[in-house]
Amino acid sequence: MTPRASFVIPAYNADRWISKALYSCRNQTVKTIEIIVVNDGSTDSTKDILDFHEKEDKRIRVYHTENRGRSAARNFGNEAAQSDLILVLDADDMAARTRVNDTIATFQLKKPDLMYGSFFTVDSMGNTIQKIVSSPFDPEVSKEKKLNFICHSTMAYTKKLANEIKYSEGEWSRLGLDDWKFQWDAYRAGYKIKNVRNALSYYRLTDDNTMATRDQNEVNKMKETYLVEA
Amino acid sequence: MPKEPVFSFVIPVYKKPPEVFGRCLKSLFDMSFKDIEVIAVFDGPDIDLEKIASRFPKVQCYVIEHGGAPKARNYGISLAIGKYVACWDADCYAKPEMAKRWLQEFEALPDVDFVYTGYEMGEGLGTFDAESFDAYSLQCGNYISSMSPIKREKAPKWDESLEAGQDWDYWLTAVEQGCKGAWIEGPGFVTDTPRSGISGDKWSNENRDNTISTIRKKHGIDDRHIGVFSQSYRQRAVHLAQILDADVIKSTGHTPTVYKMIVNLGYGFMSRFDGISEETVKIQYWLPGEIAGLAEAKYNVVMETIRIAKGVTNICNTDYEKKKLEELGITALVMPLPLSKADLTKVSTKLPKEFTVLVATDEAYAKLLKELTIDLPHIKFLFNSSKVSDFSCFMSFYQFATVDNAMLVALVNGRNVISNIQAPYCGFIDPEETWEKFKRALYDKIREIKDKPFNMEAQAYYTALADPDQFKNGLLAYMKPVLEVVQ
Repeated sequence: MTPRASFVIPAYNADRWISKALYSCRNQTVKTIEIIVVNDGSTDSTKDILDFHEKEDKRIRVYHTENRGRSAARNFGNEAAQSDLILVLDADDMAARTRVNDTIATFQLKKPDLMYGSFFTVDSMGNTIQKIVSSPFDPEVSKEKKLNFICHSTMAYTKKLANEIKYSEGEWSRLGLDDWKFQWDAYRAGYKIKNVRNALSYYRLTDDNTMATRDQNEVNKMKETYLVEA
Repeated sequence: MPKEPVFSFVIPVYKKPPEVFGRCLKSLFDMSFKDIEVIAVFDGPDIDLEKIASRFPKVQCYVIEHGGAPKARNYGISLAIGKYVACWDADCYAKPEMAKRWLQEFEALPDVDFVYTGYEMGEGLGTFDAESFDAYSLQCGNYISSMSPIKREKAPKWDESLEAGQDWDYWLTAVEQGCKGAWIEGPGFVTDTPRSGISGDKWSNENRDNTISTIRKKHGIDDRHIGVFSQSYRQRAVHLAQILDADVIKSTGHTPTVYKMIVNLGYGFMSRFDGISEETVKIQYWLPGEIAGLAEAKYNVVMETIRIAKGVTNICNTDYEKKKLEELGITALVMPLPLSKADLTKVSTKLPKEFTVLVATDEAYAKLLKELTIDLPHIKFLFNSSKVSDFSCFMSFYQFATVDNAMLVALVNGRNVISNIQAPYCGFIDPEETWEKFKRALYDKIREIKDKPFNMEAQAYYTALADPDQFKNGLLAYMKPVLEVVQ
């Protein structure tokens, strides 16, 4: 039976968080799903943890690749997805229990090509910090602020979109801007973007992830160049 | 031939108030468990008391020539046909559930030969609690009531030549003959005249030390020079006493003044040192975690403890504790508590098939460490187990961390240890770091250990450190000057 939705999770040295991410997918209210994990050449215990989950749950498929960066891992996972609906989840985040249900419902009602939702921020111990409520994608505001206000770990899109739009590798990947560019690329290609107010994920704020350690000047330069070129 | 009952009660009867004896018999027949026989042996004729017994048709009465309780008991036991026999005192009242609890314990532990409970002393004098069965501890003083049931074929003879302490002698003999006991917590009966129990009539303070020496001589137990006391850590006191070839100081043992050295384990009841003579070496052993507890005690308790501590030799487990004591103005030596010979020789080099981590922790870390089972599902975590062969790695996180007995056992068994203690080979992880850094370090350490589960260097180091002889000699060095003075 074809799964109704595919989680795609890239994992690089994520042994501290990946298990909780996987449990959050496995415990979804909607059970007919597949969970694709791309182990991007981790050097910690990630592999052992993934092996455990893959053995315990037949819906999980793990791909081990050499380390090529998160964009390549995401694209690889998207290609491996068998359903028409791809749900994004980063290895250090967790999906809300009804995320698949809410996502499928939104695709049936609003028929978007790409959607996202509200989320909770959590700290490294998993304690909830606050709820961030999503608002509709506004290209003007996003362009001016150079921020899309879209939480990547709440995003879902069609397989058709994923076949055309790819996560950019290289500098985009290294600076953690691949998701930002992906969103703009999808918008510019004419895909319909919708948001829901339901909280779909738990987004983890940690001190040592890419978002916290990247060089902000470099990030702004990359964004400016992209937005001007358009 | 009557069917043999489960319990035989043998009661020597001599000069008791009739109403007390009557109440005693009633309490036995009122118990919920009914399959008993009661044998009253009158230690010399007594018409009043015989009349009381005749009110209970089930009581078998025998009158013998007066010769003391031990003789009457032996006579009664020789007539008993029950599976278990208990010698009862004519002035003690059984609790309704006592016999039932005895039987439950006997049935649960088939290799146990006798069971015992504590008891309540009448007149609101409190409770005698007994303690868990330990043959070594029994050599230091009795804690088993004479009224405890024993398998009839294993019951020793009561020594009719002894003037006092026959009950202790009785249980020492039973244990020497290979009997094993089990303690049932909670009182099993009430004594009417409190002085008739373990601390019997002839058990006065002047006679106490003489009586103990006499009985110990009979059993080939030499008097010892060191006494170990602990208010809160009885089991550990027994353990330490064995290592030091010392006595455990207890209310039924020698008076503390007979010892040349007294070791107080844990700071509770340090006032014990106050009445002890100048020549006696006084050792205060500070147990891990306690010093932090002292800091939270009442001001006058702290000041009093420090005052006494300054007059004695203070010893503690690690440098960390030494530093803490210094902050209180107490100078202490570091002398880690050793393991017993048995712990050191029963080393298990066999690791479990699957890599298994035993987690020892307190409330401060429990919630965090429970996450391990979710984060690292491919690793087996145990949260309580006592067998070394069950785990390959020992993880210990306590708010007041120290190298405790369990960790020492793990180390001498070559288990890798992960903890928040900065001690050699103890895989230190700093819990003061942020949770994500703590987790990073912890998970890396687990991965590293998973590949090389046996730690031979740690084993060698801690086997030497935990050597009981070294500890004993270290302590005895303090006693020497005293011995010279004595000579």
